[in-house]
Amino acid sequence: MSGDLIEIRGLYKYFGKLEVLKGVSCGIKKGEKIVVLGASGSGKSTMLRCMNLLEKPTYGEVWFEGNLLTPVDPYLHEDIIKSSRTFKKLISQGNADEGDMIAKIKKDDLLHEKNEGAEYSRLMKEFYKAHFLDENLARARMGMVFQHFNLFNNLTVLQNMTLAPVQLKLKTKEEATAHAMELLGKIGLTDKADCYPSTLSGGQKQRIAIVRSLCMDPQVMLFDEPTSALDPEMVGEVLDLMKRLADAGMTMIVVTHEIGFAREVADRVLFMADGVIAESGTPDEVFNNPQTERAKQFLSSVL
Amino acid sequence: MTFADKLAKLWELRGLFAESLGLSLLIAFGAVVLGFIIGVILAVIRIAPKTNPVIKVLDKIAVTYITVIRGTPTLVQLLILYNSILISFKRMPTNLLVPIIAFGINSGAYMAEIIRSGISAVDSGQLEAGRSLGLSWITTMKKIIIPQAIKTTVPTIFNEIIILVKETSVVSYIVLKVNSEQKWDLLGMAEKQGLATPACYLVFLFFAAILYLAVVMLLTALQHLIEKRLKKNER
Repeated sequence: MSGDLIEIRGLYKYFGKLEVLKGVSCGIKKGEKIVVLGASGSGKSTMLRCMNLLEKPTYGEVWFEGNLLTPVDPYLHEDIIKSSRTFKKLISQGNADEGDMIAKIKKDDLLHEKNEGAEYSRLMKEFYKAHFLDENLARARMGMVFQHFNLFNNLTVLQNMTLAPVQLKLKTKEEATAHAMELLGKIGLTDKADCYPSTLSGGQKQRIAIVRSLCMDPQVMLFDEPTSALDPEMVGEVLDLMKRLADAGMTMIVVTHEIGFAREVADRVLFMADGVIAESGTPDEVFNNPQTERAKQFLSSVL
Repeated sequence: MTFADKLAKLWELRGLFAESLGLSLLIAFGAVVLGFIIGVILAVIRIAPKTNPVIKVLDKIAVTYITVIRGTPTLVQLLILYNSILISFKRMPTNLLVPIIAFGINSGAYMAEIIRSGISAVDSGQLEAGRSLGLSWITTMKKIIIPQAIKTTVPTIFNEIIILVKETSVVSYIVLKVNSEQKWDLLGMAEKQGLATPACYLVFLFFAAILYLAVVMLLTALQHLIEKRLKKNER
């Protein structure tokens, strides 16, 4: 909608009764490097996983390259709220202030898809049709790196890298292989091309997981605690590769506990607490001059 | 009749026994292939996210299928199918499709549960990694999850194959035909020859038992070979 590469709007995520995200909005521009910090349980991984729909948000919208990846959230669109029967009824009952009514409808979750009339349904459908993008197409353009690497155990390193681009017909097998070998060369693991993941060290696995994503020529890379499962001596090699990626201009969103990496690489640091973004700013702003009590506490415990 | 005479009689009939063993193996092989295909399809339906109504209905069908098939004796299933929906196959000049389909349907229910347990045992991160690269759910299943699930369930699948090979002996309850000529499976042949030469009945039964045992031992050897080859990508 705006010029952002990724935009999340009013994201809520419930796991049963547990509220993990409580209204998160944020936009990420092309080329930006974002580091997301926060205590465990603050919702930072869930937010990241919502960006490529590995988790489906309960409410809210996720936008990628101007396309909507989630269903339309009517509460985010005033014109849709205004078209609803609920809104018209409230107004006809003599509630004069439209703004108040919209706020009330949002707050009390008053819209019920099936009872809002034809105009509402038409607007919802039209908006969806105009902006919706299939999640698989979006994911093919977003790389993701996991805490536990998640290399495909039944495939060799090279097959891990070429599977998706070839299956999705983005590249021929030859092109994909050439690209994969070039990337393996850059991380010095060409000799591992025909090895199975179980023979690799944690650091090697994670570097290969990163270049596996790069094989898809992604527009953005999402990192979900990429160094948390590594032995300490292997953290450096993975962070180095991520820094090289950042220097090459990749858009990156990194959920991590590596404060040093955040200081060095981040354009912007998001601090999450209790399912909301409690603080957002440059590393200097967030680390040296935190505004909220929670951020101060968190930083004093990790710095 | 001395024991040597009985063995001589058995030797005389070796061609017929060999043919009946072949028939038993053919039925078992066909049923294993069919059962495996049914098993994979049912397992995938059972494990699929129940997001759309079609999957929900298919899941209900799969659950019912597995419950009914696992809850009734194989012989009863064979006889019911033989005299009902497979009746047109029964009347064909070669009616081997009847036992193959009946045993395949039976084995499919067991295979489904075996493969489903294998799929559940695969780390959920594997599916997430596949999906995060833009692969569809079904492609990720096909290329990543099911190969790993089958690998972990090889011993259990072979267990089911071995049971099935022996279970085919109940086929002697129905009339088998090849090119309109009546044929017998291994147990059926031992019984038929035993009726003709009652003194040799026990020898024929023992001989059939030995042949079944030999087949099962060969299958076990094959299982170990496959397990060894699949282990290669762990080292």
